[in-house]
Amino acid sequence: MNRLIHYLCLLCFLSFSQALYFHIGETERKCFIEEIPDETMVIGNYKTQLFDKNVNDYLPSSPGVGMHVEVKDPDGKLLLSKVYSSEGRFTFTSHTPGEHVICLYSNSTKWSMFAGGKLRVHLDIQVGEHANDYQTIAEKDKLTELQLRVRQLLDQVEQITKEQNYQRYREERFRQTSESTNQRVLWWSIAQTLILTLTGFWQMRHLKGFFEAKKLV
Amino acid sequence: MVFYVVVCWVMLGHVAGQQVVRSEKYDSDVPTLSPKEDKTSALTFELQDADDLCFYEQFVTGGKYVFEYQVLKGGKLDVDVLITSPRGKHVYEGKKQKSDKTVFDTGNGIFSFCFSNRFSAFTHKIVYFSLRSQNIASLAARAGRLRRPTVMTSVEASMEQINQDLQETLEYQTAYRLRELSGRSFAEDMSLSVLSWSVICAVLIFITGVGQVIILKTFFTHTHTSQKQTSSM
Repeated sequence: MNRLIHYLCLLCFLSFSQALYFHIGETERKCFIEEIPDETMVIGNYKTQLFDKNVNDYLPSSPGVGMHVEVKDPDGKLLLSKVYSSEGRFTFTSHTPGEHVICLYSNSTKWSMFAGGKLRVHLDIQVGEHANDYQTIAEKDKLTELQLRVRQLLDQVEQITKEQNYQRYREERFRQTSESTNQRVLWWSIAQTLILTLTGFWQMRHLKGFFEAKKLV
Repeated sequence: MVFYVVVCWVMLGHVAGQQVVRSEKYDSDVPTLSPKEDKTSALTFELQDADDLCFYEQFVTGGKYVFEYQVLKGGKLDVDVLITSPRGKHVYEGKKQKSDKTVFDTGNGIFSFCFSNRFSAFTHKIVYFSLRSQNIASLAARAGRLRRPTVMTSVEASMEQINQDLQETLEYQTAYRLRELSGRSFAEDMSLSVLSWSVICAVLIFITGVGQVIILKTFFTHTHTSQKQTSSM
């Protein structure tokens, strides 16, 4: 029995890992942006708590409180859209580099009746190499302490390489934007000159015809 | 360990449906070996116009933490930031700042990090912030292995050194990425405004051109008729 409680506690402790939290309203949608290179894993852990008047504190909410998790890739395509329970973990891997938008919103309105319309959400998003769970990796691959360190360093270097590669891609886009602005300015000045000349020409021709018709010249 | 026991106790208290009295035991926490200690939190979020948003973080052990933020998009790229300690003291206050970095001492308790965009009635903003321990976590800590401090072999020591350098590189990359992002969004805005301005200009020139002619014509038609009228009189 004692041992059981021990394990139970260990479980609570593990799931109790604190993260930043914030409050959301009934149908409020909170979105977070993660700008990541391609082929990068993102892990999000969240936990919701409801305000309990009896205890005057936030308590873990019932599993009935559902949470919509929606992830959109840079092209606006849905990468993940699921309803999780009051506590959950979502994972996705990016396929295109860029801004991924992660949105969270609660599905039910039942809780808002007694919670004053506020739900507390603990959220932790880990990206890339930070998302790896090295304890599991070490156990699975039977790595020694030293091998694990090398593995960690390798992952970090890989992350930096990806980031650098993405940096290059972004720089290219930046330059394209700047070049397109430059082109637009150039073409606009040519077009402006043309429009001005044409308008002037038309004005003169039209007025000439008008004056002649009115016998003013 | 004490923290762990307290947590268990709190959890069991919930299970038993009893009213949990927040005891001072929380304060008597010895520095725990919480695997959380070295975690970095970084979020990019959207701040609506005339709105504010607060984030909270529960710290268990003390230590210096670095808080960094930057407004990436929207308006004049400014935001109000306020960090409040568990005792209600303002640890940091930034008024209409674009970006800043602050180091503060944490203690046991909940710190709040509030971003306010109340002064801006139209523009919503995209804000990035990160919160991390000032000390770069060692590889061992990041692997979640809590070892007793032992003398490191030279291989281990150099690995830790590489780790520190790589983590710094990642930080620089993040900083660079953020600056590039706001630079690019500025360039994109500029490109768009150049386009819209040129369209507006073209329309304006056209209207002015046609308008001038029409006004000039009415001038002459008026004088013509009035001359006719005076001569007939």
